[in-house]
Amino acid sequence: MKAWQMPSPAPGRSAPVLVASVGNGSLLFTGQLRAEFCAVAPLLRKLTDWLAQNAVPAERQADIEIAMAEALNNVVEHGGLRPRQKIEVLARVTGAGVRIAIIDRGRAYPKGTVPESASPNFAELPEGGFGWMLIHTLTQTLRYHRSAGTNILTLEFDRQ
Amino acid sequence: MNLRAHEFGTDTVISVLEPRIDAALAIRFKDRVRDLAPDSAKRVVLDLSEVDFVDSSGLGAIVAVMKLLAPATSLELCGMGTTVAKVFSLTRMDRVFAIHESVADAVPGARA
Repeated sequence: MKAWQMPSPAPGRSAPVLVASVGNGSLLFTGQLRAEFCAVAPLLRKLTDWLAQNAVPAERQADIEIAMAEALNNVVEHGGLRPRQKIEVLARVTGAGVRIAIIDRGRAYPKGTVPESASPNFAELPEGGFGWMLIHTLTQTLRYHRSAGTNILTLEFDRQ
Repeated sequence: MNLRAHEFGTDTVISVLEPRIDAALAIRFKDRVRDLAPDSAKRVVLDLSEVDFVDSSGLGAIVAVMKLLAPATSLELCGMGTTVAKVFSLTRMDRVFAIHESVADAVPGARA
């Protein structure tokens, strides 16, 4: 059985507890990166390898890589972290798709919420401002939580 | 930043020999393409066939190069893979550039 096609637990029974493990096809992914742009690509490579091991379709892998690149770049650029501070990435395959959390101890997001998908003015040929638009477009749900000096951004992607 | 330029008359093909154009490389990319583009070129065709991934910073750098070269030189693109093409279409930048399948399509005289 492909991990991607996890059956739901039988009615009346709780889902089995997932124990963190490593290796091919693990349903959990844990990774971390230094808060620098050059650390983003290696983390994304590990993440897409993990997605492939869990039989996530190639097109969805690409969506996840695009959205995660933007989300991680944002933390590096705006989080105010020192380069040797770490950003953590946790991901798991769920019944519905893939859920990924980005955890950092940088500055709180402005207004304490996920920025809107501000559409750049295309007529002006913008050179930026695409990041949140891509993240909003490619995720099914997007949540931001701040507590104890920690930002948690959760991105969920459908399986198909 | 590994780039290679070939001139074909008034056209110049610049091949990007990197797997990614991303936030880590965007500024160097912009500077290098601008340096490699001859003043006399009417068209610069950016060959992206070796590029697997472009993030919004890389995309912004490509748009910036287009604006730097205009109006004397037009920047066109070719060889986009599916993930790169998706970033361009989601941001609607695919409507801004002339996009060709391959170097041969973009520059009929080129043997690339």
